[in-house]
Amino acid sequence: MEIFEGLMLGMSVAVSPMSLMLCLLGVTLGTLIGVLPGIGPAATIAMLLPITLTLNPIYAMIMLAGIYYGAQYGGSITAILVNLPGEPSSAVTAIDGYQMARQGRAGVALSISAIGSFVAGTIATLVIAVASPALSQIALRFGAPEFFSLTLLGIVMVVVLAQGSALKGLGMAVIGLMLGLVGTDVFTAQTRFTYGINEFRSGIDFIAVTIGVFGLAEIIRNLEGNDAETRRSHAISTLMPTREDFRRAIGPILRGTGLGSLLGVLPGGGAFLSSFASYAVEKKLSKHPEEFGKGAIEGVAGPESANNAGAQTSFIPMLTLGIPSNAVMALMIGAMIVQGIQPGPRVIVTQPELFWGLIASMWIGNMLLVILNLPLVGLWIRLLRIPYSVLFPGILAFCCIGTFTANGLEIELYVLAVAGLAGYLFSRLGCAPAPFLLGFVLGPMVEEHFRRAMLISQGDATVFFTRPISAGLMALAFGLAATMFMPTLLGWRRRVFADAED
Amino acid sequence: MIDWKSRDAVSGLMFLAIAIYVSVSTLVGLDIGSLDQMGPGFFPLALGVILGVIGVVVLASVKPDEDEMPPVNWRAVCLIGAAPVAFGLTVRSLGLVPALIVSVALATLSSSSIRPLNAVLVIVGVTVFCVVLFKFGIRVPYDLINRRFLP
Repeated sequence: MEIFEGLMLGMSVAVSPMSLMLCLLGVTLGTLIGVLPGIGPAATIAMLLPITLTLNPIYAMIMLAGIYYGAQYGGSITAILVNLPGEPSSAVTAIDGYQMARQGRAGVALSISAIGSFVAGTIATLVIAVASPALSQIALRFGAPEFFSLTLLGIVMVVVLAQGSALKGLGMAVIGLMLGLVGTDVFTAQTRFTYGINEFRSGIDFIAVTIGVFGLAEIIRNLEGNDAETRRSHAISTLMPTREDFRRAIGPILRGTGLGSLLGVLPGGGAFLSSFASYAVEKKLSKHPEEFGKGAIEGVAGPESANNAGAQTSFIPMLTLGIPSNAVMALMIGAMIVQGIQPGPRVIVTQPELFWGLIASMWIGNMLLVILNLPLVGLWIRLLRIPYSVLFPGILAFCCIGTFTANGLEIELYVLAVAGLAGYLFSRLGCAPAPFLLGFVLGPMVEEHFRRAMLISQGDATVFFTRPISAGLMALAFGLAATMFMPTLLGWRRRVFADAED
Repeated sequence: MIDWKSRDAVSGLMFLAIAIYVSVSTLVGLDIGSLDQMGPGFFPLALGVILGVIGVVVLASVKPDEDEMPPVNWRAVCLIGAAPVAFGLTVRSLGLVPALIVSVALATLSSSSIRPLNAVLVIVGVTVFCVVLFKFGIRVPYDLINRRFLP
């Protein structure tokens, strides 16, 4: 049995002392930034990318992945205790979780969310292990036209499912693609948009741009408000849920896991959409819908399981197709490229240790999170009291030194500054940064696949529609793009996001 | 009538400006080619046209802003934007430690609430932490202080 062998190989990689240590470091850092205000997983992973360059690629990926799903746990801690979701995906948890905290049941809410997340993480890991090899088998037969259609579909999906205006998201994706053009054209060796700057010949550095758009811009945005305020947290009495709590939570946990695993695979959906969908489903199925919003345990168990499952399965398109489904996955792709690994369906064949090791480490990481976080929750609460005015100078120093040490070029610090200001402008204009980053990472690939497809077909653009797989992907992409402008879907999107922001 | 100060309108104008800039500079400087013999300018021009269309559609469907945003903190914009530049200008000529001190100091200046003593503590703390992590932990090959500039 191939999958079993793979998981065994993965386990042997994931339980090595170095893997365990970096996995622990990753999930701890993830929880930390999930708890701390004003810094998200995308910015953190961008800042830590340069450091991981010194590591073996397997260890680097294990640590970066740990940061991502660790942040999902950390985000729910602040959502429950102080009604401030650390991550957007925990926004729904805050509704009933905070009410439970006000009723003195904060510990129970935390336990149920940790247990739900662990169950979801375990099942989702199995889903990845089963689905990924099959999917990469299919993708191995892809040629240039299929890959072009696939990337197009990925971009369209991110735009449709991302928060904010879909049209502006599309524009941001195109701007990202344009930025990806800078450098030497691989087909003719002519330089484009380099303005005589030698360092730009190999393209604008991905690390500097991401740290700018996600790290620096976030700092400037947070400084709009009052940075001195500290927050008060509810006390925790008992962590142990009652038998009745378990009975009520088990259904939502399993349903949330299913929903999250499914939605997580969709580009752009991931953790955020799945937690909201799960809340809506549980409210509809419940015999006591009036309890929702007043501390219903189902409203914590379902969304928390869903967002963790979604966070896990969003690795599937990244690992098997080389298509990122959100900003964090775009960073992981970038990390692989910087490490000299070509992302795509071949990763499972050429890098089995990396592929299976990463999957196995996710399960171990989820276990570490449960073991660590429940006893340590008091420590995390204390961290909540750190005022932002002390925190952000450190974040800024990390942004600068991280950008510089990646390649040792001063010009990247100037790119960082410009990217930071641009990222702030984007957020003021309500233009989502995630499609931009996706376009930027995918840009060179999109162009290469397109031009290669055109070379093969001798300039016949119908090639995308005459090959069956490519035609199917194209139909999906165009169909989605068309429905994007249909009023019903627009209304649905607005309702989903409006509800989630309540 | 379009509210030119709304977020949508400014976004649309930004898209249009970028689209025109990229298209024109591609037409001027790069070989476009044809579908079967694509030059380096083909893809940039295509993107420019697409972004232009998007910009026009965004402008055509401008909606007034639904919510008020907090005012821009211009002090933070300038100082946070200047910090990496200051770091870049000093890291080689003066060394890692001075570069860190300058950029962190610029950052602390952008906070309206931090007290001077705390600011100094933050600057020292962050600098020490970064030096320990990057110089002694990861062993980056950059001088802490450039000796040529010492008296």
